[in-house]
Amino acid sequence: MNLYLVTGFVVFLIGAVGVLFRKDAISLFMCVEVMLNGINITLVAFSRMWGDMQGQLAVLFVIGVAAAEAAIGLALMLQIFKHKGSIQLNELTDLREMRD
Amino acid sequence: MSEQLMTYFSWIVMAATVALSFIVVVAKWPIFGAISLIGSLLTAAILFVMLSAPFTAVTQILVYAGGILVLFIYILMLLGVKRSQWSRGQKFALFGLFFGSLIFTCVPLLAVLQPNVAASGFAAVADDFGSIEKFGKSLLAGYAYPFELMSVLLVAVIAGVVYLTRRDE
Repeated sequence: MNLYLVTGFVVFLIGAVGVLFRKDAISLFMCVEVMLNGINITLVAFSRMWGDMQGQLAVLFVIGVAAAEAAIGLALMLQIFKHKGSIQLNELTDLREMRD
Repeated sequence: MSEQLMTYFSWIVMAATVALSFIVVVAKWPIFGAISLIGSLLTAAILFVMLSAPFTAVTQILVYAGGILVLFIYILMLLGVKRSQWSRGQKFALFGLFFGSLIFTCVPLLAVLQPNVAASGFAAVADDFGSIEKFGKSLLAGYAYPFELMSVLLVAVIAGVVYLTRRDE
């Protein structure tokens, strides 16, 4: 198995574990970007292994969609901060049901 | 000889990518995480160049590291995120989850696939594989529709961001 694929997988795994463990929204979002980085590495490695250009085209679209998602996500976080004063995930509990 | 050097260099760059991604997850201050994420994207761009994808590498540096991550740093500056503290139990769980999932996925995969670690398994490609001409031809030949949809997506995102950050007068 190619070492490039292992690198992509390990980076994706690090990002996934980070998404589960981070407590503030911006760091969570950065761990999602780490996951996308791992996916890009895997796509380019497969594209080179099979001599197919489609992997690199997919990376272009992934980067474009990541840019769009980052813009909207960060604008949302600014609004949340403006209204609630904090972006710690523990304190964003508006949708939680009232427990008896 | 130069082949060996490139192999060792690729190992160093891969280790740097993994280490910088790890710092993103465990950093106390989010700004350290953002800067090491930029470093991780740059080392990934080096890997792309070694995998005959120069245009993808440059796109990643320009758009991802130079656009998206700079936006992250602006927002971190505006929001002033607190430092994160890991309790001892959380550190234990973090390392356990990471190494456990690594072992539980890699060991069965390696046992079943029995890879040939010596050979790299690369197909023989032309010299201009991944160059901007070939990239452009492949993109506009078969993928013109997603390309145009991407521009529609970006316009929608601009409209959304302008709406989300308006003042409530």
